Amino acid sequence: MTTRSTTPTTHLTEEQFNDAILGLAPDSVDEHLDACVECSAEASRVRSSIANFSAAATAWSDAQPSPSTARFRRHALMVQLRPVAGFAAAAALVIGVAIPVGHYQRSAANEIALASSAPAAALSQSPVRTDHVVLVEASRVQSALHARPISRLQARTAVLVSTYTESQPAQQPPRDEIAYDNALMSTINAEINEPVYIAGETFDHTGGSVTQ
Amino acid sequence: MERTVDQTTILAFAQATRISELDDIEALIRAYRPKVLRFVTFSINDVDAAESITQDCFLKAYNGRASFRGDCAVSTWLMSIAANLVRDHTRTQKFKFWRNFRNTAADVTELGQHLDSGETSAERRMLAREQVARVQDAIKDLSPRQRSVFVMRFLDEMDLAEIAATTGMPVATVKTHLHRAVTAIRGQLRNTSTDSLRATAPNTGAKR
Repeated sequence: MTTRSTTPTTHLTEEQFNDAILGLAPDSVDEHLDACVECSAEASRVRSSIANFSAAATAWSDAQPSPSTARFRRHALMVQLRPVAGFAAAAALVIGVAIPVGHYQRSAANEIALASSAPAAALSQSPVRTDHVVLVEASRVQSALHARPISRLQARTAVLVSTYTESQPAQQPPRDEIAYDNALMSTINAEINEPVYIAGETFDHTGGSVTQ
Repeated sequence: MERTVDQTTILAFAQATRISELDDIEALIRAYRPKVLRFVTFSINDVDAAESITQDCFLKAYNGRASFRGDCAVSTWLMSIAANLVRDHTRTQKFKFWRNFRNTAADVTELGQHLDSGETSAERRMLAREQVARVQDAIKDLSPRQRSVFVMRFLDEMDLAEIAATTGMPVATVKTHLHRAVTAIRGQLRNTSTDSLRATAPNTGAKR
């Protein structure tokens, strides 16, 4: 041991000194500090420095404004609801995927059934009437499938078809459906061949931009 | 008639009291926020991050209060949550930690201003501020664990066993960290004394 109760000639080791600061030193170290001016002065300096730091840090933390507990409660509620929200999102995703898939599968099944029954249906109708239905349906499907600006043209075509159909007397269906279709086709062709002006740009019947 | 209460009943009552303490979030924040904030701030030396971590700490405590069995003090439980959050924070900030640490040190640079001016003389106040700054400088160079342990011991006055329980470190490791922290502070204070002596020494014209 390096301590002496009177006039010490050696000082505390680093470990002894640190233990003294930490309050873990045995009595003999305290006795040395009582007797040794140099060790005592350094211990006092270190202790007062740490004590001042602690006091300043405590005063600083006590002075910090506390955030509103209302905000904290909202946050806590959100954290509690997060798993529920995640489950709801997952459920919405599953439903969002499942419904269209189910719908698609039903549509596909209906189409297959329709296709299988189509010949019989076709037989029951006149060929001209069937062609007419196919033409109108093809126009509608193309309108939906093609990209702009062709889709714009085809949308106009569909409007023309519908307008033309509506312009016919309701009580008197066209007697000659071939004539009806021809008239419709010529109207569509005439319209399609006209350039279309969309959003400051002119497009021809192929959908290509026409330089003005 | 004298009624005696056995030890088990007292412990059960203490546990129940501790558990119910967590239900009143406002009282909990009021009572422990400064302590948690102080620990986190001086462990990571980043006030903004410390605010966020402190809030997370109370949030975790509040949301996880059902898991608190009441077998330790609420403050110990909160401090262990805070210590884990600090450890996670320093781990995720591993590569930029030291750069951030130094860059944000200005956040608490004027810590000495918070010292109570009281009845002390201007000279003593200046000395105290200087000491605060030196300790602050010294703990900057400690590892995050050493700093956390130092803050728990000297700022929150936790004993070694409590620090060990909070941090999950063995008591011997806690003691080693504290020894290093005290050595670093002694070194910093010694350097300051030498600098002060040099600064105040009369210019004799002697070359060094």
